[in-house]
Order: sequence, then C-alpha cells, then structure tokens
Amino acid sequence: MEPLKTQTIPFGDSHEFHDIFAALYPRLVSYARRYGATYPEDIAQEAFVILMQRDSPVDHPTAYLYGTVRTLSLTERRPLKNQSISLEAVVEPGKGPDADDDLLSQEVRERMKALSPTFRETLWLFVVEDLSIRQIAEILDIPEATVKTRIHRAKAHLRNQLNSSGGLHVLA
Amino acid sequence: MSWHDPARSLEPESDSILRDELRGLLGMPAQPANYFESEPSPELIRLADDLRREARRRNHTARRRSTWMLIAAALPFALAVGGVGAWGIRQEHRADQLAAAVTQQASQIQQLAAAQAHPAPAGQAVEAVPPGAGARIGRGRSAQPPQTFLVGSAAHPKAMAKPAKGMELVIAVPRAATPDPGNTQTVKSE
Repeated sequence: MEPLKTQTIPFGDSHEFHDIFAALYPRLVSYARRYGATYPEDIAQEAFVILMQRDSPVDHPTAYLYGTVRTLSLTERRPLKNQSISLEAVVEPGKGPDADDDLLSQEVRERMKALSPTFRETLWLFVVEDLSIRQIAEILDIPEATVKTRIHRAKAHLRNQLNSSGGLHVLA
Repeated sequence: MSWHDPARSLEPESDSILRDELRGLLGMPAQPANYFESEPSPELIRLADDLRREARRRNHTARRRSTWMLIAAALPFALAVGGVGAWGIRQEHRADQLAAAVTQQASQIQQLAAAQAHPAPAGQAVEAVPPGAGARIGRGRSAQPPQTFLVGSAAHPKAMAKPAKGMELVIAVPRAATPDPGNTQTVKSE
C-alpha cells in the first residue's frame, strides 16, 4: 500500500493544528506519565516544539510525537538507570485522573498487566492509542514484522488467559 | 506536513479486524475514541499558540553551522598538520642526503686505503701519511714517531686473532699514558 503524499506546509492551518493539539496533547501527557516522566506536560510540549521546529516535514507526525515523547521520557529517567523500564512498571504509581482511566476499566488493566512488558507496550499502542502497525514500528524503532509478531503473541496470551479463567463470555 | 496520517487512514482491513478482536479480548468498547474530534479548550489553544511561537523563536535563534564555517574552523588544524608533514618530509630528505654523503666518504677512504695498500707487500710497514690524502697529525702529537699502516698479518696481535676476511688496513696507534682530549688525529681527504 502506497502512503499518500504528505503536504509540505507545516501547520499552515491554525484551526487544524488547534484541533490536533487538543486531541493529542492529553494523550501524549498520559503516555509520558506512563514512562515515569516527572514532568509529562513539559515533555509533551517539548515534543510539539521539536516537531514544529523541524525544517523538513515528517511522514507520520503522530508517530513522530509519540516517539519523541518516549525518547524524552526515557532520557529523563536515565540518571535513575532505569532505561529498560517500560509501560508496565510505571502505569500505576502516581497516576492521576486522566484519559486512560476513562478509556480502560479495571478489568482491562488487569489483563494488560498479565502480559509481558514488550507485548503490553505494543498492544497498548495498537489498541488503546489506536495507532497503525507502521506508526508503532516507527515509534519503537523496530520492523513492522516484529510489531505484528508481538501483537499476535499478545493476542495468544490474552486468549490463553481467558480460557484458563473461563472468561470467554467477553467475546460473546 | 499533514496530520491526516496515511499510515493510519490506509491501514489494511486485516489490521482493523485484529484491533477489534483485541478490543474484544480486553473487554474494551469496539469503537475507539476519535482523536480528531476533540473540541479544543481556550487554554489548549493558548498553549498551542505559545508552542508554535516557541518553535519559531528557536528556529530564528538557533545557530546554524554552515559548511563554510566548519571549513573555516578546520582550517587551522589542516594547516598545522600540513606544516608538520612538510617539515618531516624535509628532515627526512636531509637525513638521506647526509647518509649518502657519509657512505660516499667512507667508500672514498676505503678506496684510498686500498690504493695505498696494493703496492706494498703484506706485512711490510707503509709510510703513515699518504700523499694524496692530506693527512695531518695534530699539534700535540707532532713529536711522536710517524704513524704506520700495517697491512695483513703484521697488524696488531688482537687483529691477528680474528679470522682474516680479505685484506685489511690496520692503523696502529700507540696508546697514550693518560687520556688526552687533544690526542686526536684528523684525516682529511682532498
């Protein structure tokens, strides 16, 4: 599938930018918070500034923003030597009321917790953040095939989890 | 830069089906919240405009290093490296010249000595100063007996102990009783 040719005028339409910013900013703040960022709002804002500061436009601005937030959040945690930390370790502590609480029920969060960190991160981006496989590959800097493999394995884990707990009623 | 991401809008149907299936497994609602249908609040609009201004400000104030500036910065280092290299090459050339001159001088001396040794039979004492060599005995040794060249087996006893490799020219110099810095002999070839 050939991607559409992107426009070369960055943020030409102010109204469009306001809409996109209003939709993405809370999610990016939440995403940074999940990586344990101390100042998730600053990181989300910095990601927007970095994107707008670019001379050349990017193909996938949403993926670029998510990737920048992820990198900045991990960089902020670097002095703590927790580079390998991922969504799973920082979901709960210090989590305030935000969009994720509205999106995810306690049951969903428990099921996500049962997954391995690698699968959970990919699954989160695919299902909760509603990003495409190509975008996830760009954010995590891994091949698309790897993203697909992780998603399918996560799906198998979820199926096993439901079978063992007798929770197949969810599918019905 | 378009915000309508083609990677998302042109997603294969199989991926959409997979996403819906995973939503079902997780117990999430089938229809996701649409990103692009949020109504921006005045605070978010202000924040967005501030960030846009900040990006423009950074674009204007960011120092851009052009190519010629990098070249200008690297020029002193390049000149220093080039200068040291040229000096080294010159020194090497000079050392080669000196080595060649020393080798030539040594061969001339050997030829001279051989020319002097040939007419005299082996073991016979030869007059010390060859006429063409311009040998000059130092001032402090003018009273000493004339030096002799001993050819072949008549040389010093230590030299005789060594295996003879062809014809050798041995200059017997009487050892001084005390070390005398002026006790030198200069041979100059013309």
